[in-house]
Amino acid sequence: MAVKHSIAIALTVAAAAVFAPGSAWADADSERATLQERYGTKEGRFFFHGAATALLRDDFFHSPGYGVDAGYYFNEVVGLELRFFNLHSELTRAARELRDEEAYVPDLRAPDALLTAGTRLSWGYGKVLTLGRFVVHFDPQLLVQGGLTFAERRLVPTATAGIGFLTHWRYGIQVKLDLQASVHFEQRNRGMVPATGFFPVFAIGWSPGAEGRR
Amino acid sequence: MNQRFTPAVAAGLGLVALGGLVTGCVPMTEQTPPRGDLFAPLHEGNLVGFEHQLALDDHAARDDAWTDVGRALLDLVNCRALSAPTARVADDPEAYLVYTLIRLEDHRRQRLLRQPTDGAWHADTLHARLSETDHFERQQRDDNHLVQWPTSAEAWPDEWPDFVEIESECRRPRRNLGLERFAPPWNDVDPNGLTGHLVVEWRFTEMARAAARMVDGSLFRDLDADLASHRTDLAIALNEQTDPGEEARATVDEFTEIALRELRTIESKPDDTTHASRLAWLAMLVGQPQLAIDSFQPLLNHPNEAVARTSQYYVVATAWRQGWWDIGAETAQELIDGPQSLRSAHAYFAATAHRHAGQPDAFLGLARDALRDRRRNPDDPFLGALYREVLRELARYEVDERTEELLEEFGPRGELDIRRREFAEVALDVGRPEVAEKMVAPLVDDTRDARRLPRLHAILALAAFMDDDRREFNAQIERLLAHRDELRSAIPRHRRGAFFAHQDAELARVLRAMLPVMAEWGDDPAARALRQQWLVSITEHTQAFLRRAPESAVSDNLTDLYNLAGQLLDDHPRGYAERVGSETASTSALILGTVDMPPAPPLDQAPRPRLRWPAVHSLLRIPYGGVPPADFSSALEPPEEPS
Repeated sequence: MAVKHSIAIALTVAAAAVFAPGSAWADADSERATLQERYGTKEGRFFFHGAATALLRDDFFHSPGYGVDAGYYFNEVVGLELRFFNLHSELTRAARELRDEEAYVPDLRAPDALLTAGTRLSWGYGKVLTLGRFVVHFDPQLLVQGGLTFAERRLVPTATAGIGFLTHWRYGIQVKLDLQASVHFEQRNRGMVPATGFFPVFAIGWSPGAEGRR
Repeated sequence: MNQRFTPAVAAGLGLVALGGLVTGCVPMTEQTPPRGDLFAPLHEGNLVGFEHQLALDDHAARDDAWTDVGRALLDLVNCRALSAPTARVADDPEAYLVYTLIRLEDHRRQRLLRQPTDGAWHADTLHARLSETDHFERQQRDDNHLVQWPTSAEAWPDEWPDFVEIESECRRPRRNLGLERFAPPWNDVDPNGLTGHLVVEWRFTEMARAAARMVDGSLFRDLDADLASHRTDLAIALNEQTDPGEEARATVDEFTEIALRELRTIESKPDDTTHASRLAWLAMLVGQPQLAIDSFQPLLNHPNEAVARTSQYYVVATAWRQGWWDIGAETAQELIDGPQSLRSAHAYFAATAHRHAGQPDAFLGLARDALRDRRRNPDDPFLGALYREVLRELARYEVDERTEELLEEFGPRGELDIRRREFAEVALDVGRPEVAEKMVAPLVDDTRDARRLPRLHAILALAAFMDDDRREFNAQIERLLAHRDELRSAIPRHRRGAFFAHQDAELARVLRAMLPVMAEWGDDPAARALRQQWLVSITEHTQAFLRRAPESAVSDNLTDLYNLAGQLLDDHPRGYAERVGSETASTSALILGTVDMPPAPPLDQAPRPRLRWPAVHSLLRIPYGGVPPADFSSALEPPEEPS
């Protein structure tokens, strides 16, 4: 798999170059910078994805899930997103044993669903050559979202933040991978206790009108 | 629910997703924007876009002769050095013609920078816009749909050259604006340098004309006429060089002849007066008055008043110099406006042309318009000459009320006495002593300024001399010197010369003026007898004055005059006169006769207003409509109706 230089450097420079003016003509005799159109533009488009996820908090529950999201981008940088995940939480093996043998149950309720809304900021552009013939174009993104977690009868304020990679494929298909940290503020027996976790999301979706290069 | 979401279901969903991704993989393909209208961005002022098109041509290896033409245009717009055409340009007749025109415009720009001018160096030309660096878009605007990759050795086929900012060198100081590569060393005041530029530019027009013969002329509208007009401008500029040098003179003459021939064969547009202006001016420069006058005719009614009056002035002045009075009189039916010097010169040429053409009423009418109620500037030779011409004409007639009215009109009322005296002097000059006497006699009684009396008595004395009235002559001389003896004793000796200087000068003037008049009387016995009588009178008056006023400032002049008159006497009383006179023999030339010198102004000081016309705006023919071009435009806008 070939990468255009080091991804870290390429992404950083590409992010700066999107907003920077061109170089001076005086440098035209030397090797000049290059240009390409974004593969799959986002400006003014809606995006719809189906996602698989897992809420990993190292507590008493396993919480895999699936969901959907819808987003809209005002330009190539800033977009809004609404997400809903249905979580299939179940007690861990140790928690089950405690419940069955000692009749202890956690004061933490099992998260059943998660509804968040927030922004996605594309801060660069990258591409990776795979198998010597395919190119994966992607936007590295920052995510900040907030919402509610439905935990049995409790409503738990929730915030997530992290980075994501929105890759563009043919026919307007996107694949994205979000790596987020989550914070839940649940009213437990000993009061309001923040619970942090890791919240990865893998999503595949489509955007009408974004069928690749213009 | 957990039972429905089994590993098998998950695996199935995963396979579907994987299949979708494999299908959606983006293959690596070459991506370069297609070649559109290569020159359209230039016409739109999008210089950065134009350069980008050229870079894309190079990147996609689709560059051709028109790419080189585009590069040359880019260099011209940015005042950068142009190179010689490449082989592929030379092989394409249309591209070669356009390239040659670009080089011609480049030379024109450099020449205009050197040529002295009253206004902007690029007035009327395309260079006004080209040098206006803000006119062009030189920097690419941000486009979020585009991604710029930094300079890299990696070559990705889906990338193409980036836009680059286009810097102009046109803002460099004029002295450094690429001139050093033309004819170093450059000197602002070196006429040969400018001549050299003009000649080189002419050669480029020849190259362009030769190239134009190889292409379809319908694509290059008006090029032939533009080249002819431009070559005329070059010939004019060459002829206006003060001293192009002997070697260059032959070249200049050759170019002038060619330009005249070409311009006369070009059909000008009905409303195009620049053609006539060029032809008329060049004809004037090379001394073809008939062609100049004919060419000026369409300009006489030009809507631009400055052009119309300048044209009329040149027609009248040229006809006057050639003695074509009828043409001058026919053209000059009325006076023109404009600067005072031009109005005065035109009034002189116009009015006197009527006089020479035998139209005294028209002459007096124009002269009255020119002189009416105006204080004459002593530094205005043409108005002064016209004034004298009018006085000479008036002196031929009897003095009547009309004469008085005219004299009153010709200046401020407070200076009427001066004008009457001037008229009297002119009347004497044309041999009309009775007119002079009528003008001056009333002034003697009316004048309260004693300083003016000697001049008036001098005039009357001369009038009496011309009437052969010795008694009156003697009386006027006595009055001229009146009170001298009474005052003399009161004036210190060393100041007498200065005190009586004005009086003495008038006496000397009278006596000096008499000798040439006597020479005109002929050589018959009666004339000789009369001359002898007046010579005696001159010598007596001179001798008496020298005895009375030896300290006079004019005593030396009168001594010479006395000697001269004494020599001319049949019985000149003293050998002394002959001896002294031989040392000042040159004064004898005075009595050979008088020459009637018309009061002509210094013609070499006649104003030479520059007739101006817009330069050929553009010699470029900029491609338009794709590659190969479908059309060519002389301006930086697309033609309205491409053909």
